[in-house]
Amino acid sequence: MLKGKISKSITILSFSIFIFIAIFNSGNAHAKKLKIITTSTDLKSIAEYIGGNKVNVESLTKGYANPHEVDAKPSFMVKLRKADVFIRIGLDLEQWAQLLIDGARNSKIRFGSPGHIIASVGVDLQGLAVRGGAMIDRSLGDVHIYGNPHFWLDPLNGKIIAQNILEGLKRNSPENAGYFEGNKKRFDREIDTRLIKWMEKMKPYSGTNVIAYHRSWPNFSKRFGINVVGYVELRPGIAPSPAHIATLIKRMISEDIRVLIREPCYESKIPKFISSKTGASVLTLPVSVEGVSEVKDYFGLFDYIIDNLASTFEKQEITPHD
Amino acid sequence: MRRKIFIYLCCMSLFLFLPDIVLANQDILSQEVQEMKTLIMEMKNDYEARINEMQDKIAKLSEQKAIEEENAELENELELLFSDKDEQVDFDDQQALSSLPSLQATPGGFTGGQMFQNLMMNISAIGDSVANVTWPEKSIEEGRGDGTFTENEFADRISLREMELGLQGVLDPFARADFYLTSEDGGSISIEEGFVTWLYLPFGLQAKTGIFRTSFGRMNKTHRPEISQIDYPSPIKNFLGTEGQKEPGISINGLIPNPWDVYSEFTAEILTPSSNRDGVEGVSGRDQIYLAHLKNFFPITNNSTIELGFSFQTRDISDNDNNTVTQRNFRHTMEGIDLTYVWRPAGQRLYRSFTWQTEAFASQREVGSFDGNGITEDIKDINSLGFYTFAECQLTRRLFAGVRFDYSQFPTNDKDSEWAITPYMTFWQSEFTRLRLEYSHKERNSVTTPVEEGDNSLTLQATFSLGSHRPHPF
Repeated sequence: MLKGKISKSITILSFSIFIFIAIFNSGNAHAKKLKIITTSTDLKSIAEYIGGNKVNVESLTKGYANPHEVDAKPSFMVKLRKADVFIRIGLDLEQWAQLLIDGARNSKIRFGSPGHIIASVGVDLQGLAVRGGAMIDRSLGDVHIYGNPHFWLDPLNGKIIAQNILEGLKRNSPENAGYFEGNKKRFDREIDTRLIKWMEKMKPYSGTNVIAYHRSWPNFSKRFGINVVGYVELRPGIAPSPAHIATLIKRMISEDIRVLIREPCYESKIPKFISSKTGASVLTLPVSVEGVSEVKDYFGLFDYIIDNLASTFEKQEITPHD
Repeated sequence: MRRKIFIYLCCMSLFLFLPDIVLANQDILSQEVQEMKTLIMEMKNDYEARINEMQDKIAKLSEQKAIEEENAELENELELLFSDKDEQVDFDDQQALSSLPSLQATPGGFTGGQMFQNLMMNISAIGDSVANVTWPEKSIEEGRGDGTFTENEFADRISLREMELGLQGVLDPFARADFYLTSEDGGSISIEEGFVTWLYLPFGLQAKTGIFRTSFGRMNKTHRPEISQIDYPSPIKNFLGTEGQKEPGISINGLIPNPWDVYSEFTAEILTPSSNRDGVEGVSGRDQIYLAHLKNFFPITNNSTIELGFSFQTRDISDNDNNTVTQRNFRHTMEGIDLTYVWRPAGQRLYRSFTWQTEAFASQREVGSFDGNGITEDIKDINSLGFYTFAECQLTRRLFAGVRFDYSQFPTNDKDSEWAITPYMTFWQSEFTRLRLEYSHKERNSVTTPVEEGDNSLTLQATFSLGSHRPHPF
């Protein structure tokens, strides 16, 4: 009887130790993954692709949020405190980021440290705000003087972003360099393969004029041939005035501009009003991954934008041409 | 016969030993055959392994070749597509691009963030201009009684109430400095704040030293041009000073680790009170303020947060008459609690938000008098309370409306009190220019100084900022 109890106890104890070791080891295995915090869902998507199962990635912002206006919440500092790597867009898009870095008290991720990655290094920049050599000042609105920060909307820039992330991950996890490089090669091939299909889909509508709410589209325009000829915002970050809206309506009617692109973080009342006066279609397009629920990753972002543009052009009977 | 026997024996021997001889030969042969078999098997396995290896290599090379061919095909197709397409640029920038020297990024270097700010500090300037009418009418010099109530600075006037110059920057990889110089009503320039912050001390601590706004409560750390109303609430003015509490001192803070990953920051400060702080007796000698603050931040949902803070400060106060030798110091202690709720949906942050903020203060102050020998007598405690609460709602992208209620006693006089109600509207022309219209009705209850009617003021404020100003903490 006693022997039976003892052996039962030993069995239970052994099983418990085994479970504990399994949990501890899985915790350890989990802890070996690089903890990455990004400032956007697009960077998160690309980092997840390059890092694979060697990383855990979290974005501080939501895909449907305005990337220019983010609250530097203390809770973000807690996340950054534990991060191994911090990836941001740069180009002064995240003016709030320095406050978070200072509050995080994590020397691994401060500017200049191996864990600090800026995605914009080496990208093709568009949308510089100078007018004929005049000085850049705030009369131009809330401008980004180093270039339009929405550069990830060019898939070829996506490859450069991935390269920057790759270099950062290799610095922080050199033992997995080969694995990351393999993922990067697959990423590049995926971009190249899909880019052909995207460009072929947009080619018939090359040169089509559209209106956009905000200056999010210069890089997309350059790559896919859609001309953004005017904006609902009078200047970046400046709400539209009634006079400007009236001018825009007249222009859309006279130039037969039939599509108005609106980003999810901007209001819909004015675009709908413009649509009612001009007959143009208001097309809500996300500028980031998870900007709408259907967009799950970086490739899906372009699939969504291009499919919706093509179907809207078709609906508006915009004539395709070779 | 013998011969027959001999032959017979030979045959017998042969018969007997021949199998052994044969068997022995057979063993040798078998052995050799076995060895040959083994050798052949080894050779076979070796060749098979080599063949498999070569087949693998061929497969990999074929795969690589296929990938390279596919990549080359992709590149060709992309080249064709890019060469067919005319260059498309944003028309607004076409002229700009042609006139600007190339600022295109170069690999491995240009990040865009600090190109033109290398080694330079951030310089900013904020102007805060007010115009108000008050009733019943009185001049700016007119006070009320013996000074329980501070003079009404909202007498009819138009002025550049405050100009603040900010100089902020990084000193080195470990520290940063922040200076704010201020001039009120066009007068002399004084230091609003000036401090160095060490960001990466051991154990995750940060420290700063200089002159800074103390960490007592929530609103005290915010500069007056940047608060949600035109002026600080009565409890802050009465308990901490007309423009809040700022002192020279040392501050150390750190995050408290916890299993829930809640932001919990503890701050400890030692401050030397300035000798002319409004509303509170001046000090001399060794009197220091010891202050502690605990800030807790809770994200409730993706769109809403709560901040809960607790504050405490204590100090000995002594008579500021140099001829009096005090035998006992008096003690002044204050406690505070602050609660801030913010709702700001991430997808509509430009257009919708709601803020509710409340702070309460309690003060315990020992007072007494001295006899001719400097011995304290008639000691008594003055216990005072004060609180404010405000709610602000964003109506449109640029328009906000709010209301604040204040109630406050006084640290040196717990018999008198005042309360005020202040509705206001704020219009943001842009994030750099703000207009505010505010009405305030204030009532005072005084045992010592009878007050017949309340004060009313209607104030228009214009606040504007130049340069890059570091975002304020959330």
